[in-house]
Amino acid sequence: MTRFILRRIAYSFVVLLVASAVTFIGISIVADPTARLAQNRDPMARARMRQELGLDKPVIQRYGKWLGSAVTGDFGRSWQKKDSVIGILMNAMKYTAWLVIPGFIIAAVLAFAIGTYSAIRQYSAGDYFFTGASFVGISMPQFWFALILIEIFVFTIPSAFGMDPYFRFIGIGDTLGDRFKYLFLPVCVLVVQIVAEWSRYHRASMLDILPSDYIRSAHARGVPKRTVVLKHATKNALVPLIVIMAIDAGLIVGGLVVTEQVFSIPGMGRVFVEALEYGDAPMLTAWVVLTAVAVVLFNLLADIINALLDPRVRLA
Amino acid sequence: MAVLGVALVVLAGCTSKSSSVASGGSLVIGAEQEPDCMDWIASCSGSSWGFWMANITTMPRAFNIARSGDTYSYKPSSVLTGEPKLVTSPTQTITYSINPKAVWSDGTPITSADFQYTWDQIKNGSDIYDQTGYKDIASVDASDPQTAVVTFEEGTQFASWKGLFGGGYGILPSHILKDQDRAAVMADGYTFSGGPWVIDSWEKGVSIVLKPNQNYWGDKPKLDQVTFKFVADTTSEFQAFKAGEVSAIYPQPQVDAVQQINAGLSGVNKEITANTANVEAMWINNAAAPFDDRAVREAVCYAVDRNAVVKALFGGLGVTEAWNSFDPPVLAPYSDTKAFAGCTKDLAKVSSVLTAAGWAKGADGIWAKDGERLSFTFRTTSGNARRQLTAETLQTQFADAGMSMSIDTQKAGTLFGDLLPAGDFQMALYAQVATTFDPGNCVLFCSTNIPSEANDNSGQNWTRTDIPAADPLLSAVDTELDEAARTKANKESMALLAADFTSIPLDPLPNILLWSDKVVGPISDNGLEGPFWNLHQWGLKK
Repeated sequence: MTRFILRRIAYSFVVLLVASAVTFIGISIVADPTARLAQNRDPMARARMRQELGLDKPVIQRYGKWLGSAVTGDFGRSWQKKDSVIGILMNAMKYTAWLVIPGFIIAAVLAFAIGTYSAIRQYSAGDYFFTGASFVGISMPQFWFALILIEIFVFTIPSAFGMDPYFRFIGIGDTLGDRFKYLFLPVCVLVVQIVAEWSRYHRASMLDILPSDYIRSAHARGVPKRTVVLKHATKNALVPLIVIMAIDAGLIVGGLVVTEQVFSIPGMGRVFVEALEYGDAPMLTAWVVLTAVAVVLFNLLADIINALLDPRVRLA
Repeated sequence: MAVLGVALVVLAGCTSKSSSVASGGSLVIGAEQEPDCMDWIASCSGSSWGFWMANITTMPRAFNIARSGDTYSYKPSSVLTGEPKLVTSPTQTITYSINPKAVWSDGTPITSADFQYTWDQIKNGSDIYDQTGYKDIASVDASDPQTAVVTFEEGTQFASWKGLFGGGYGILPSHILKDQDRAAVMADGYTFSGGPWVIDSWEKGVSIVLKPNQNYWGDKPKLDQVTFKFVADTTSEFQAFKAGEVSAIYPQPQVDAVQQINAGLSGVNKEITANTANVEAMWINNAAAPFDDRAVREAVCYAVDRNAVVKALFGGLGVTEAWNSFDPPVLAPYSDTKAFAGCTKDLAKVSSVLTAAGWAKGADGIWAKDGERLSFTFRTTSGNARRQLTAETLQTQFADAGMSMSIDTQKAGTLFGDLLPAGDFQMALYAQVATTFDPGNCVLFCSTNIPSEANDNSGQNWTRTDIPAADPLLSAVDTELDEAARTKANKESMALLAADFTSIPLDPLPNILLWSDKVVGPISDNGLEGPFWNLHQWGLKK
């Protein structure tokens, strides 16, 4: 196990090196952070900024300098915000976590329940309902669904009861109570999207497991149905779901661009969009590295959990 | 008796207005953009929203740009005792007399040392956004704390001197910043103020909160707190406004904003003005075929129904007429605002102008000369639905006139950063935005500012305009200290630019200010200082 983890970490350094180089060099080639000064009435403003940012030096040299600092944990300063890149990302991560952690927990519970129900009640009315609903959930554009939720919860329902809207949707709130008001709608958007996907995986996985010999044997031995499903079948059926959840978790660390945009949540997705628009190479590179680290770590975690759940899997 | 009656009516009106504003309370305003930093003189500044929200409300300045009806003018601010004394010979000297009542939020008087420090930082500091004007100042005498004497370098004259120690910068507090790292103190928000408000907090990505400056020597704010909440998405912004989550918004005049306003908003006051600091134009590369032929540029002038384009874009806001100058509407007093009024759709004129220049229509209905069709690429910024619509409308009109236009959208950074400076365009659509109340188009049209090795390729005459007769007039606008002579030079230069059809102005990009009817006060948009220039007078309805 230890060798496996060390080998995966060693591989991940190569991944991170390639990802950071591609991002830094690519962004430096296509974007110019001094472009917004092109219409400045001071004709030398742009030249001064180019010098200030070191853009007068070759891109490889700039990347080398960035990499030298990054390995010591210093990801430099944002060209746009003139602030520590890591500080900005940690702040954004805090907001994304407020959205993602409750969303993930709720989605995992719902996906497990719906997937299990749909599998053991295959082709029932309930199964057809959840199957249809999940297809709607997967195919619905996030921004559209977000606006529909706002319309329903902020306008239609309160006005039908002659009340002021309870839920808010611009920002994230200050107190814990506020957070519920502000995060309810974006969390709903996230949950519906991922439950739709995960519940399908879990249903399919359960349907693979339920006809297995060892499940039939358990039934034949008189093990109660609830125990067969929740203990014997679920343990193996969870393996693919956990892998999918881990991959999604890694990707979502990078933020939920559309949801964060609609609900004005200053998370990782917003940071990414702003940095991309500006051409902020240090910020984008650090963002990519951080997201890549998350993907690698969550995949590693998935493999470890996989091995623990299924002894047939050997990590060598 | 009649006079008394009128006076009573006026008095009653005033009393009613002032008594309807409650003292105290808080207000939340939706802000479309967040500033990158609050070190106003650094290259990370320059955000319009940053200026409107936090600069104009907290930074003292020598002059304000006052709006009276539809006209604007520089007025000495309450930091000064009155109009500064200007001496033009032998060197330009400005003497500012400082109001003894003017103090920083910690009670320390605003003095000439603050003027001196501000100039020194801008002229000699690193990473400065714009040194224009300040770099030509030889000294600022601060020997008398109540009097700042600014002396320019010999042989230089700076006509826009009223924009110094103000504009997007303001005056910096020497007693706080001297011997400190200015950027470090200011970049993330600062605790000092010389305006009606102080910055209480700036939570990055979330909001900026202002509270009254208790030591402000002028009228104190009526509200206890103003929060600017950052709203990234226009549709959400309108939803938040309708839901009462924010009480005022200042959206960009995009297609969806116009649609939302026309769809009807109840309990809402609005001010939509075309008297802005913006000019959007069809900018033409005068050095690139086919527009290196003056006749083609003239034909463009007659090929487009600019009023119809403006009506399609902003008719829903009541703005229906094209703008006819490269000076924005707020600079109308300096400008020949009818310079391009002759550019109206007239296909017969297109035909006669092009035919006289040797062009002939081909079998495909497109004009051609020496085997070259009159076709061109129209570049504009990507991700902007309004500009996309403008381009498509123009494409149809040019096709009717026998001109083939293709549309190419580019990221703003690429368009402004690479393509336009390199002259890699034929026609482009974008806006020029005035940041001071001063005319001056030399930077855009003087032949010396065509990007070249001589100006380190930093010239901004991207249209490659080269009119020898216009150059001295355009230069005079930047240096002439006599207002009448300056205005005359500006008008004459505009006429020459129009006569050469260097580019064609299109619209003034109207400003939209919407506020809930629960918010009262003399609320109005100032084209140059923004909508929150008098935020201290805003209040909640009683």
